[in-house]
Amino acid sequence: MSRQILIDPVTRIEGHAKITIQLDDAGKVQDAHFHVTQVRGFEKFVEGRPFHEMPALMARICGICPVSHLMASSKACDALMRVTIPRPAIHLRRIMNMAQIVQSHALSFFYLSAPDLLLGMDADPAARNIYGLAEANPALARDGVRLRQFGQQVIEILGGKRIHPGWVVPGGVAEALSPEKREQLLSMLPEALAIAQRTLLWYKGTLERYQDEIESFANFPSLFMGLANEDNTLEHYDGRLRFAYSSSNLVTEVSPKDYETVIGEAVEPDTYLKSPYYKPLGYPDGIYRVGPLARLNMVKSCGTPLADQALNDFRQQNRNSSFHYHYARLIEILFCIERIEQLLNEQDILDKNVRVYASPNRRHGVGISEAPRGTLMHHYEIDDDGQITRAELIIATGHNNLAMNRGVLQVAQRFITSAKITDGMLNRVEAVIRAYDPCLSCSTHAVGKMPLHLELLGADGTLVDEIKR
Amino acid sequence: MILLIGYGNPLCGDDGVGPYIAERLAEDADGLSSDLECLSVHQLMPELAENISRASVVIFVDAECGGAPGGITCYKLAKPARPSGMVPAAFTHNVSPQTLLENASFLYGRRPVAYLYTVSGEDFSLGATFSSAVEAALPGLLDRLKTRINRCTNLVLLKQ
Repeated sequence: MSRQILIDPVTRIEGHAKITIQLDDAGKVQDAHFHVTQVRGFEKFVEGRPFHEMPALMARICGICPVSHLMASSKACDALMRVTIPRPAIHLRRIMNMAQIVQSHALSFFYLSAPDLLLGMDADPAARNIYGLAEANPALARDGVRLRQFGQQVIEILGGKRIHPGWVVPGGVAEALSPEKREQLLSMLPEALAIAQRTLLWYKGTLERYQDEIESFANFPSLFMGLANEDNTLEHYDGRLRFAYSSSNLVTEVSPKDYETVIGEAVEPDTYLKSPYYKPLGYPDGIYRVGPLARLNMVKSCGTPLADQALNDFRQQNRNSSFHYHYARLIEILFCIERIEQLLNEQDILDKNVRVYASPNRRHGVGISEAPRGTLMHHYEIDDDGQITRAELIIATGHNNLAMNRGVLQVAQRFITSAKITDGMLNRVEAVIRAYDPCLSCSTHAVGKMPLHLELLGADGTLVDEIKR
Repeated sequence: MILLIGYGNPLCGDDGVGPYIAERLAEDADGLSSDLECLSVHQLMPELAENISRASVVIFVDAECGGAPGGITCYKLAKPARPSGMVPAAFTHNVSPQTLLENASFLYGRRPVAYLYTVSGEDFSLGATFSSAVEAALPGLLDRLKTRINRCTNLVLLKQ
C-alpha cells in the first residue's frame, strides 16, 4: 500500500508551503512535491493602473525584498519610456540593489539557516532558531544583527526609509547622492567587510560536519540561469541573460528583453507556483537553478579581489549541491560590500543628473535584475494612455521550483527511512527548501503563519502518523 | 533615549495602529523629550534587540485581537522569572517584545524598562483605514502615550 507524508507548512521560509512525500508499498520514498497554497494576484489587480505607479505598487509584494521589485519594475518602466538612464543613477541603483542583497542574505544565513548549521539538524526545534544561535554563539548572532542593519541602513540613507523606499523611479532615481551621505556610507563599509570575512571563515570550518547533507541536498547537475557580464563576471543589475552548466560550459545567452524565447512556464494542478523551464529542453527536462549558487557557477570571476579569492576556495567544493547556496550567499555578501565601495568611488557618483523624464514610447517593457534569491523578471504591456493591460512576473522562487522539487525528493530518499518521521528527518527535508531561501510572499504574495504539521497518509487517505510543532 | 516601536501591517486595517501611532508621534513631538526615537515597522525582527539595548525605556504599540474594540491596555513587561538565556521562539518571523528584551539583555547586556500598549482591533481585513472604534480611540491613546513618555523622561533625568 503506498502512503503519503505531508509536511504542512514548511517553517522558516518567507510565506506558506507544504511538502508531500509519497511512499511506495515497501515504505520507501517514491515521489515528493513542494506545494505553494496561496495565490498572488498582483498581476491582475495592477491592470488599469498608470505604468509609472508600478514600482511603488510592485514593491508591496514583499516586505523583505521591496528593493528588488523596485529595481525590476523601474527597469521595465524605463523600457516602456524607451530611455537610457544617467550613469550616476545606474551606480546608485546598483548600490541599493547590493545593499538589499546583503541584508536579505544576512537574514537567510544568520536567522534562518545558521541555527541548523551551528546547532545541528537533529537539535531540539525549540532551540534551533536565531535565539538558540544567540545562546550558543552570541558573537555570531551579533554579527548577523549588524550585517542586516548595515544593508538596511544603506537602503535607508539612499531611499529615505528601509521598507518600501520610493527613491528608485522610472527614469532613474529621485535624488542625487550628497557628499555627506557618500562619506557616511563609506564609513560603514570596513565593519561590514570584517563581519563578512569572519563569517565566511567560520562557515568554512563547519563544512566538514555536513558532508552527508552536501551530498544529498539537491545535489545534481543542472542548468544555471542568471545575469552575467560580457567579460564573464558577476552581475546583479544588467548584463545578458545566460543559461550555463558552468562558467566554461555556456549553453545560451540572450538579451534580457528576449527572455520569452528561452523560458516557458508550466502549470501544475496542486500548486499556485508555476514551473518555469528552459524552452529548448522542454518541460520538465528544462530544469534550471537561479540565485547565488547559480550566479557564482556561471561566471569566471566575481570581479572584486576578496570575493575572487573566496570564489577560488569555493570552487574546491561540489558546486552541484544546493547546500552550497549558503556558501555562495556569504561570497556574494563579500562581493556586494566590495562593489559598493567601488561604486561610491566612481568619479560621477555625486553627479546631479540622476533622472530622465519621458512619456511612454513603447507598448512592451521588460525589466530584469538579480534579486537575492535569483533572477527577477517584470514584463508590462500598456495601452495608448499608459495604463497597464498586462503584467507578467517571474520570481526567483518560481525559477527554482523544479529544482526544489527534485531536491526534496533526493533528501527524502536519503533521510526518510521509515514511516515514523523524526524531527531530524523532517528538518532535513525542510532545510533543503530553506537552502534555496524561497520567498513565497514574492511568488504568490502570501502572508503565512508558521505552525508545523506533518501527516502520514495511507493510499486511501487515512491518517497513519502525525507530527505537530 | 526613549524608544517607541509601533508595529503592524498598515494595509490590514486596525493592524496598522502601531505604525500609525509611531509616525504621528515622530511628526508631532511638541512638548515631548528630544531624546524620543520612534520606529514604525511591519513586524518585530531580531535586530531590533540592538536598538532596544541602547534605550532607557522602550514602549511597544500594537493592535490586539480580542477585547472590546478600541479598548486600550498597558502592560509593563517585567523581567521573566527565568534569568538569562533565550525565550524559546519557534519562528524567527514571529518575535515578541519579551523575546527582544531578553535578547537585548543576552546579546548586549542591557534590558531597559518596557511597556506594551495595545488597542483592541475590530477589522483586520485588507485596507488602509481603521474601524470606527479604533479611530475613536486614537486621540486617547496618543494622550496616554505622551503622558507616559513625559513621565519616563522625568524618571530618566532623575536617575542621571
